[in-house]
Amino acid sequence: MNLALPAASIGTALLLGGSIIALIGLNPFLAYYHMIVGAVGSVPAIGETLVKAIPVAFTGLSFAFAFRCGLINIGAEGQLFMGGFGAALVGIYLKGLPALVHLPLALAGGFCIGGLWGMLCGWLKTRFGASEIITTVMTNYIAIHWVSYVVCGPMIEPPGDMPQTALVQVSAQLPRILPGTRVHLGLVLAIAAVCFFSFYLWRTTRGYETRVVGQNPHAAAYAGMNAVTNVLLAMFLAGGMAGLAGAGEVLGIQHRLHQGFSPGYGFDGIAVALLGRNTPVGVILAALLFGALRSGGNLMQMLSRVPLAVISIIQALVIIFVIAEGIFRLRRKAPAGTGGAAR
Amino acid sequence: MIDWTVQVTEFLAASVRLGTPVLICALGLIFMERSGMVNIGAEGMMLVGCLAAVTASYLTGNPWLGALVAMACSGLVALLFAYLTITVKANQVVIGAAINLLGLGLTTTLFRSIFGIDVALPKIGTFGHWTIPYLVDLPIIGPALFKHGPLVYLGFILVPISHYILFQTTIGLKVRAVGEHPRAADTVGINVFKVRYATTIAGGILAGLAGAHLAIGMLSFFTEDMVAGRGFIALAAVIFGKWTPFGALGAALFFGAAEGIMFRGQAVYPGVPSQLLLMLPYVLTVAAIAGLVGRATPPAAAGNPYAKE
Amino acid sequence: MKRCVVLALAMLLAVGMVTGCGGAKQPQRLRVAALLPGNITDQGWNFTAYNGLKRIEKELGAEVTWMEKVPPSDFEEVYRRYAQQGYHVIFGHGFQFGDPARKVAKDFPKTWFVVTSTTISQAPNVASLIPNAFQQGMLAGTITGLLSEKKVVGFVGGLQIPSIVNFAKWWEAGVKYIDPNIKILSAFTGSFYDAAKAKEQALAFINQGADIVIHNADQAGLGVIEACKERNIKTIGAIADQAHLAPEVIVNSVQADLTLAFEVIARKVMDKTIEAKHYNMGINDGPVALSGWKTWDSKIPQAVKDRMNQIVADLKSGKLTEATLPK
Repeated sequence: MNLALPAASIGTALLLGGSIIALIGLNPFLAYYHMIVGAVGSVPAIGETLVKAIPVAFTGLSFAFAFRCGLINIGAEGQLFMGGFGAALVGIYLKGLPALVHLPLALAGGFCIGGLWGMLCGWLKTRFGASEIITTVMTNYIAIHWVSYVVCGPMIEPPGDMPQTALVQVSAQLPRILPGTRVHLGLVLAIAAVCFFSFYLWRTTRGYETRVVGQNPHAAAYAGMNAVTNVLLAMFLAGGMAGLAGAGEVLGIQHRLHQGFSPGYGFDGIAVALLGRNTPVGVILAALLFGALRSGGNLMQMLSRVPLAVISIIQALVIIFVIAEGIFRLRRKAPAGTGGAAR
Repeated sequence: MIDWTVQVTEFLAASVRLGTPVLICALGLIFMERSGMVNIGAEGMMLVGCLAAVTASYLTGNPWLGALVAMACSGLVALLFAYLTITVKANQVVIGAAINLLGLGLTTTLFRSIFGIDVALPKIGTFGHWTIPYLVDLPIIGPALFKHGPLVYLGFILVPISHYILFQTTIGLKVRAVGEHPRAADTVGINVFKVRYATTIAGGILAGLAGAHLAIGMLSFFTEDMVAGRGFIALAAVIFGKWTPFGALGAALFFGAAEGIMFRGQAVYPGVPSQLLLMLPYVLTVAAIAGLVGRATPPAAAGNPYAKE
Repeated sequence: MKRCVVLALAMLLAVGMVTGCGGAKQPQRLRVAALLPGNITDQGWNFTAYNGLKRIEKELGAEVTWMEKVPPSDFEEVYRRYAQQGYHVIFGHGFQFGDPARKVAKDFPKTWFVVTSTTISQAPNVASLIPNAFQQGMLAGTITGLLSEKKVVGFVGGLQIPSIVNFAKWWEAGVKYIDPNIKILSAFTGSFYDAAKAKEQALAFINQGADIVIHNADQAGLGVIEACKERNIKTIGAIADQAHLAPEVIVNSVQADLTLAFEVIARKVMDKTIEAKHYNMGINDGPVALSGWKTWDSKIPQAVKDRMNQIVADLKSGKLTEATLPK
């Protein structure tokens, strides 16, 4: 890989972003200084970068899993909400269990409900032929309103004047693993999930089938592979991964369920997966980049008064220039498939 | 006490109003998808259209100029999208997602620098209602269908026009060929890049028009993130309508009607939790897709960049 | 890919070292920060907080900063970072900021954490602030009740959060206080951004016969005003004085203007008189108020004006409270 390309990509994005900051009358150098400090400047800052990388690593894996099976999963956001709901359900209402039992159960609750929510779209596709692009978009809205409903209604914390659930039992909370930061056990889970993703797809027969179905459904059918099972399984795993992102937020960070508790981690997952070319290592690196942008962006907004909107622009520019790094080699003949997703 | 004909009329009118921005945006997306371009970024393009329409209409006092500028600005954003995905061959879904983020950031920043934070919303020129003579006197459907802003009629007129272009002209044939089999299209001398550039810019222009309708047709101001998911709904409407203009019309009206039911549900059944009613349009859409529409086959080359051998 | 990230970070660091400036700090100046749940341009909840900060900046010469649209996952982090930077008071603008405030406050005893729209407090440094929802609701409800001729009225809210749910509850009580037979329509659109949705909801109510439709949905509420303009229906401004947005339909505004309240709190922090308690700011303290009839003054019947003056007086004197409200 040519080193000059990514450098040029990110450099250009930051340069453009810096000019916008300068245009609105702020000091771009000070702003970027705060961004770096906020992303990697101290142990807590690095911690925050990791905290924000965890959910997008999961949602990135969610998109990648489905993508490997030839499915476009726009529904990670909704699956994340359902995962948070499942984890909260188990984490709040199951009482008197030791942490060693309760925490895995709560995580499983998040994984399964997220997974089933994803599988619903898989089922609608295999049973009725409904495009997963539409159903995942629609189920996002349904899940978000559902969480809103349970927090205002059935799961509201007594006496019921705040739209939030009760606190998750301590036995179901993800322990924090880095002193002085909010980094929780979810980090280890995310790494494990990436390993699972890699092992499953490239080392098991099932995973091989998933990839064949994704790459060439006709060949898969010819070889006697069952597309229905593979689609259902892929969407279950994809939903489960996104569900774990939600479970991690509820059990590790917020400790209760709120309405609208995700700042769009599900949608970030799409970019994370595609930026990481749907590969395990790629997803980890892209998740770290997104975590750093969010964490650094926060401090930049807090201390340099750069509005959130400008930070969105910078994030968009970074995505655009990294994914379209081909801009910088147009002079040469571009190799086929440049910038396209690897399959 | 409640007059049911009025109720039905108002409900139909609301369905048309709510369906129109989705319809206009979906028409553009059909051309894009038919030529092999998947555009997740319609949301951001619409938002740019909203701000451009409000700004231009504010400066000139003329809503038509507002709509034109909105179409031009969203067209420019689409040009960027086209350059990145067609020429540079970057992944369409990611670039689309980035365009949404960029659209939100840019419009918010520009809105604040143009209009400021402290000042009240400016008075701008908006589209009034155009009442179509004679037709409006028809019972029930008259006032429901023939008393709208001009962009609503424009959206409806665009449906048969799009259908004609797509299925009856050589242009349409080229677009579909490029979407189904770009390599074959290339061999018979169709310029794949040119066609895709053209459809993408057309898609952007229509997204801009949809944004203009939202901002100065339905409302008379710009607020941050005002598109609120309609770009995604339009994307769904394209597939729901099986990549045909009349299909998209049906899908958009269906969605508008589902929302219309939801609003009336909140008025009539105060005991039902609002969140459950808010889910209704989406649940109905999923049910309709599963039950009525069935298997949908996208254009074969949708989402894939094309490179000459 | 890996190299690309490493390189990016390296570059960022390089930029930082070259510039390497942290901004000079003046220890004596009051430093105020705020966590806002939405956009400062929403003409409502966040707009009044923004105005509050600007007022603090101007009146007290304080250094102010804020962060918009803070997502729930970042509450704790943002609090902590502001506190580490030595801000003297940090506002959390919404009930949802209460939990993390209590958590972080333990680690930063020198910083004040003030949360709006909730009743929590925690010694020694967490206070809370609420614009009295009962009084807001009563004012809006009684005007609605007095001005409705068709005896059907509507309310459009954004998300179901305490400040809005309570407002709706007491608005209903206020309407019933005037006339128990008025039909009340009420809905939540689930969004503070979707103005088109709020407008359609208002139109649906007008269609059901409502002749006054009011809102409490921040920027989405502008859609309700739009619907009222289109159908020539009366409405009431919410949170800030909104008369200028549509003088032809906004008869009055019920302010829950925290601009002043923010300044009051900041002053208390400055002269160290603030206590770790709940501050309920009502009609006697300034934030809750009617903006006045303005251009509608000549069109409103004297009887209505007199009745409203009486209600304002009753609220001020404590004659009309949640406890004394007739069932």
